Amino acid sequence: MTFSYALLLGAFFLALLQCGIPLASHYYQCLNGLKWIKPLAWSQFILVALAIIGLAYAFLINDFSFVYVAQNSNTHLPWIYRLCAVWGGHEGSILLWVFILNLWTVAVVLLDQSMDLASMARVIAVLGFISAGFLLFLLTLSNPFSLATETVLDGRDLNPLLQDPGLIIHPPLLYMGYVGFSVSFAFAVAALLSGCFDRSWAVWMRPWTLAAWCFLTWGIVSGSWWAYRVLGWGGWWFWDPVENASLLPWLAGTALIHSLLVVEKKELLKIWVILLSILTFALSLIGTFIVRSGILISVHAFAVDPWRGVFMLGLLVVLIGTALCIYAFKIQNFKQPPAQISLLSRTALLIMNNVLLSVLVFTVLLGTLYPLIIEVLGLGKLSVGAPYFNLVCAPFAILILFFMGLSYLIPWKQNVRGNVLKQIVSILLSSFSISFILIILFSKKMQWQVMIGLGLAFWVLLNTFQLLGASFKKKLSLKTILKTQAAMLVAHAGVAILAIGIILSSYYSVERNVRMSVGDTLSLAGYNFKLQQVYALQGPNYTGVVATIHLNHQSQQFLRPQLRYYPITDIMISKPAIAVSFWHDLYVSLAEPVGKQTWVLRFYYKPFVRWIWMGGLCMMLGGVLAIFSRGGYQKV
Amino acid sequence: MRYIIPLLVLLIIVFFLWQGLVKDSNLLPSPLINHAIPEFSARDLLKNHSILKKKIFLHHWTLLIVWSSWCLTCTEEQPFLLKLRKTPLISIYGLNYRDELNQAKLWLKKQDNPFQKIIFDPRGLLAIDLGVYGVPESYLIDPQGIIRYKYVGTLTSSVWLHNMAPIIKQAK
Repeated sequence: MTFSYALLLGAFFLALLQCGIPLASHYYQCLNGLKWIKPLAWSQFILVALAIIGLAYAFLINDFSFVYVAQNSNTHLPWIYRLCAVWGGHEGSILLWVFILNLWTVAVVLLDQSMDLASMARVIAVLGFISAGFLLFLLTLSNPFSLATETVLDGRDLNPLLQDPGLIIHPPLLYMGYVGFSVSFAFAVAALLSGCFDRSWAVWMRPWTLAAWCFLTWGIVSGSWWAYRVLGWGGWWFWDPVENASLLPWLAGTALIHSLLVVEKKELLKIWVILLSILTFALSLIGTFIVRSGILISVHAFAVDPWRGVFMLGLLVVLIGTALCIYAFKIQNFKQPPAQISLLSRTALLIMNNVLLSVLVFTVLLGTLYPLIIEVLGLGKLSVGAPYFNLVCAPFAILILFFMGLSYLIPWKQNVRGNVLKQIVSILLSSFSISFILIILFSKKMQWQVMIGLGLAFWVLLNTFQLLGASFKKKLSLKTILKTQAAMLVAHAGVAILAIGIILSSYYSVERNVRMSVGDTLSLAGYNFKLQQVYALQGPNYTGVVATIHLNHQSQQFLRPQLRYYPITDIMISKPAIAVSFWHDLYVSLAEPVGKQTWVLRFYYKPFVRWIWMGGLCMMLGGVLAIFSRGGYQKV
Repeated sequence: MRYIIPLLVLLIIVFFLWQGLVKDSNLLPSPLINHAIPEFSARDLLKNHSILKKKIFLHHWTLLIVWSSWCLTCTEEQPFLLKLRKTPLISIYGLNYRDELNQAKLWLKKQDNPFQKIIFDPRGLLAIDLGVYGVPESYLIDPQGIIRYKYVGTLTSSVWLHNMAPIIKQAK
């Protein structure tokens, strides 16, 4: 047994105590034990942090006596990727999961000073329960510190696809998001246990949910950016099960942050919010399960220990099943008298938002699991690809954009005034006219899909500007605007920017696959590409070739796509070169050699593709602003 | 009562995930089972000027192995294929899938070649028609050129004895 393993073992027992003490003190009605809760959370965090630092150190010095290090590192691997290799494989990524869970736990302990100790203890207990489950997984089936039985001189290297700056940030961000929803989950279960879920619970919950949502948004954006730069196909979203696994909790989380507003403001939707918190975390767990068990990935991807999948499924049942049992028993206490909600009110629109997002979650989940369901029922084997998802998601996207723009015009407080309808019609008309004119000006073909999509994106943007203008007219101070509206404005503008990026880049991209010899030229979308030379390349742990492509259009620019071969893992990777600009990307990848001096190259012209990630980051920024804004709650 | 519904939904999802976890993913029904092998024209990896067509599958039982030099598990079935080559019962053909000519030749040099003929399919054209799902994969083709059985994954002697050989015996 290694020292680091002992640290994890210690952390496991602390997690059990952290979960057990609040339950026991609740049972015996003795609150004395609760003072131990915070120190317990802190010491567990320190043990897990030491363990992950130990693993990082083992990678830095390439200590191949650990099997995990030997499998994911190599003496020729640059040190920064050795550090990232900590979460490059299964065991390490579960350790990262536990570490991040502990990070969130101590953040709750540290920052939520307004909570009473009993409620805090319940929240920490639930987090301890989750932590104990995952630590048990580390200790039994995925120990990152197991020792090699034979001496290893050099390791197997990290998967070359993962040797990219995108990987440094992507998995930790994604996990910060996934695991962050465990805090909302813990709050919901704690509220169920305490038998009360009032406005103050929603106020406690909202910043945590928002923080997790921001990280998840950032994680998804960085993942999409990574896929675009590394996979060499110019795609940024593939509707791959692993991607859907991150999108599902994001959609549920988006519904959650919106419905929490209604709880804060109107004390409605309480039961729904509790259920949604559990659902969001359940989807995070299912996401971790899908990615880590390899269940939906091709059998040829890599060998996975089946017991790990079984354990994680068991964990899912225990964690979520327990929560849902508590829900079934306790929820009667939360029943509210039916409320009168006017059809044209902010509340109604937010409920609409929740309905749309929930149906979307269901649709994406069904599409992701459909191949599995069909196979289990013995009805054959099929795969559900991008066409299904694009087809079913488009109508929801349209409706969501429409209601999003509408929500600016319908306030919380006042009744809808007569001129609102006039306003709606005029803004709707002008946004569709702008969309129509732009398409006529810049494209020869009139496509109604683009027209509708762009029109709705402008509808959201125009409404944003309209509200901002009205606020300035009312002489609201910048501080008030920041405190009350900025979050919504920035986040929703982000959605519109994202929508514009998606629509334009998918409808107006041009791509060409060509065979080129040195000296050949190609013109694409008004740009001239000339293959000037191809020469050999020697990297730290790879060899390869790099092509120099002269891009001739006003400015003189060179693009240098590479084709790399990683001999240790025996994998060939094409590293595209991208000329980035605000309006479009020019993307070249070197596909394969076909002769001595002849190569197959892929050229892409991708208009507005940057806007996709800019929009995503805007949404995240909106989330950050929302953490510091007043939300629906106003102190009386 | 309706508050139990979420729990039931969870259990249904878990049931499917569980089934997916324990399923045997090596048996994939192919839409082409009991259908003739599609027409094709491709060069032989081993001989530069020889063009292979559908008729090479006629008049004898054939085991068609889909492989690539980049496929790490493809080497695992080589010893068995070399053993199987000694029986006169069947011809063993290879389908070199999405590969590079030099890499593939190098691989054959290292491994010892069990194949009588190798269809070179760098762009995966025939593979798409066959519905190849990944490498390695094996197809059992009868003397009329009709696909009788498909196996996904590393071919072992037990798969051959229990699933493929009986089909040949039955036909005779």
